[in-house]
Amino acid sequence: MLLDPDGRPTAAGALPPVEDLVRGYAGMVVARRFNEQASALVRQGRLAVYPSSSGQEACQVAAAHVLADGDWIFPTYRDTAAVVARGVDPVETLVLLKGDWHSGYDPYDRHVAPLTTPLATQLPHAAGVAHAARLRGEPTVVLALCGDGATSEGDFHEALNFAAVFRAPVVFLVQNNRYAISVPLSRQTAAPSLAHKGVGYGVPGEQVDGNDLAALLTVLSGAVARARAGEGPQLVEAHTYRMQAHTNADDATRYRSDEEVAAWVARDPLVRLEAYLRAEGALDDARAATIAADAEDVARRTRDGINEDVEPDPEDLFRHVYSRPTPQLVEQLAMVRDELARDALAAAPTRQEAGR
Amino acid sequence: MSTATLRTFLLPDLGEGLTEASVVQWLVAEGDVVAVDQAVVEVETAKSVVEVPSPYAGRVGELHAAEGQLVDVGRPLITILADGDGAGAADVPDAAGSGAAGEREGEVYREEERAGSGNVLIGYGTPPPAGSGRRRPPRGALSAVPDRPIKVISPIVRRLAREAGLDLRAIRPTGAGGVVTRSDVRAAAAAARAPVAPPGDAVGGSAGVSGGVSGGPSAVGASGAPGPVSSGGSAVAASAAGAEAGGVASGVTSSGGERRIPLTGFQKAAAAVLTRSRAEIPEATVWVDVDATALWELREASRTPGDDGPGLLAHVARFVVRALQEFPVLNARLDVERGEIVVPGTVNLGIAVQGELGLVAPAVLGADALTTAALDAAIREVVGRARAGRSTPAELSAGTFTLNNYGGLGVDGSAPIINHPQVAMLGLGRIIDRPWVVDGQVVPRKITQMSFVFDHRVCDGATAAAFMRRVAESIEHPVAAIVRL
Repeated sequence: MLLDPDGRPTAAGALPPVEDLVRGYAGMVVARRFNEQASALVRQGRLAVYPSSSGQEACQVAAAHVLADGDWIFPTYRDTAAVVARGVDPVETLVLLKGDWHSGYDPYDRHVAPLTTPLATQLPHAAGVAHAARLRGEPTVVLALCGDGATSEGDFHEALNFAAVFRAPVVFLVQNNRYAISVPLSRQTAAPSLAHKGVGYGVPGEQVDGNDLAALLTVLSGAVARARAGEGPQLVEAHTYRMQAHTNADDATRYRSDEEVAAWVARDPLVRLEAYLRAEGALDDARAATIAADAEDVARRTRDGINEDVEPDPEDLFRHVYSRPTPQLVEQLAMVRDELARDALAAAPTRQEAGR
Repeated sequence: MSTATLRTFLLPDLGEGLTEASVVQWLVAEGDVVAVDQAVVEVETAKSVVEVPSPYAGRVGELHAAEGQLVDVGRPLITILADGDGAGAADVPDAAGSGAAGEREGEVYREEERAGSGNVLIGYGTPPPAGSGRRRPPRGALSAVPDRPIKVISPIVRRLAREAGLDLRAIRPTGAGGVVTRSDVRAAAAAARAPVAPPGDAVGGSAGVSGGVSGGPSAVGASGAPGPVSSGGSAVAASAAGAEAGGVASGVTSSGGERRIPLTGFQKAAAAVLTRSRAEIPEATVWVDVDATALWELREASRTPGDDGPGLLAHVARFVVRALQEFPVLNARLDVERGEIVVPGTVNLGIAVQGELGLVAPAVLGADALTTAALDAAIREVVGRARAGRSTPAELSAGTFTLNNYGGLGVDGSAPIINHPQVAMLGLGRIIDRPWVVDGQVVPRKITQMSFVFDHRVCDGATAAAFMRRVAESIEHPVAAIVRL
């Protein structure tokens, strides 16, 4: 911890440059507003589901900010705010949860892998991409995100082992928010910490206050730099807390107490950093207002974009599945075209009823 | 952008696969001005209580459901006279016409859920409900209907046929290889409709619905009536009848004098717990008559000018908690999978309460740490919240034992259903003056009957009887019991 919950520097080490902190603060304000907007959209029926990262903004923003343009990030379903912080369009970030035909953004554009819903499957992929980059002699570093629950999955262990054996330049960031949906950490592991899980594979592990952006930037940029320098993979465990329920389909009051949640409210990552920046004179009301306006703009664009209905083309069902479509798909496409042609013929007066 | 348009916000699925929600509380009133994303209503789903934000800015035109009312997903929730900056297609520009259609769709959806899948393909599906009025005789001679499987590929085709009340076997297939297509169904439907159906037919269903409601409140009231109500007209019934007909009506279907009243989400959840309890628990019941005169007098004597003192229920609750500490197995639950009796470290005393939506048993948490006076206050608080439908999920699920004061309903005895996963429940009948033999003399005494139902897997009758005797003796000799608490 470099900043205590009240925003006072601790003696633990030097703080990152203040401009990085201001940029990180702005990113966190956007992240929180984005989480709020997506949570509203899901309750308006515009998104099917939304797993909010409210409370985990420091992890989300730090993960995106420590990477260079050519680096890759591998997110989970809860890491939409990190994806936005990485520069992906906020609407495209959310369309997976809306059910658009293409389910997401172009991963190659900002080097952001798809949001992964199955637990931990993105970790071996991340290790593989890092290994490939090393074989090609590219300077790419990969940052792979996962939660505490994912550390119980086989893929987590395989990815650590593979990355260690091949010295792949990958940083595993575990956001330990203490619950895998409703399962508490105590039912997840008997290890002294999740950072310890690297020991058996020869991967150095480090723990960090996941609500302290300054500490996260320091620890993660160190890990990224070492990975880039050829020192192999690292495991970082960030201690944080999800302030909302797992998703809109979850009632968190059934498995955690109000007192516990209240204790984490006091450790809010935004409050801490804002207090520090204001004390340092790096943030004043005018700057804060600009940042808030930017966040509001992101929220408005998100809202407008998700509220816009895109007419699906039924033939898209058959595109992009195989580079050369199978005979079955060709036959099915012909059948759909036949139905649609009949509709168009039969339903001139009742076009909108006949479907698209 | 000042052109105002009516936007109706339909209740969305708030938690991955929910079909309904009940309105807990409106946070705005008709005529209020709301901003985009402002919370307008608090609803309760099977999963949690959720504040729903408005997708539109503008003036509130209409609230489509009364508090306490159940709304199906996809039905109108609130209509807003929007500023023109409206959102996309969650809205229907005109709410008036959409109501009936939405209702019919919900009905069809439910029927499809019941029907399962695929029965139409073979042609041996469930028969249409008698007199439903939604099916029409198919056009074309039935004798011409081929007695063979029908080629249908798309479930949409089956659905269209079902909606139109058509037998797929009677539709002429024109698709490749004799497959029935959507346009075939539409053509058949158009042919069937043109000469026969009176124009108002489709609306007939909803007219029948409102008829059902006007005759309905007493039945609704009977099932939902809170405790001390003598006859039908309970608060629940009154508010349901007074409300705009839509919500309650939405589910009530009527046909030839017989009415169908859908269970509310609460009732379904309660039914599941009750059924599970009766299916899983081999229960046994013991009962005993108790002379509560001494406790009654003690309770009267404990009144002071400023403080009424703990009620009878609190005294009994205190004795029960003490007895549970002596017989902890009755405060336990059974882990069948592991073959273990799980004894918690504390007593969370559940109190059966007739709440607004139905019977609940919220718990006084940590009841074993409370004095009789503190227990009295805690019970009043928990019961008050439950009656208002404001129990916390923790209260509703944390109980380790339930005390059921059904005497409040004016009855002497009951063999209540254990509140699974608990293993026992103590019931209290009404306290009335009865002739009683004391020291060879027949005298009037305050008598109550207590029942005790327990899970025979966790203990035998001897333990249950001993527990019950302990409580009974505490009631009969309260001073001796209190000094030993």
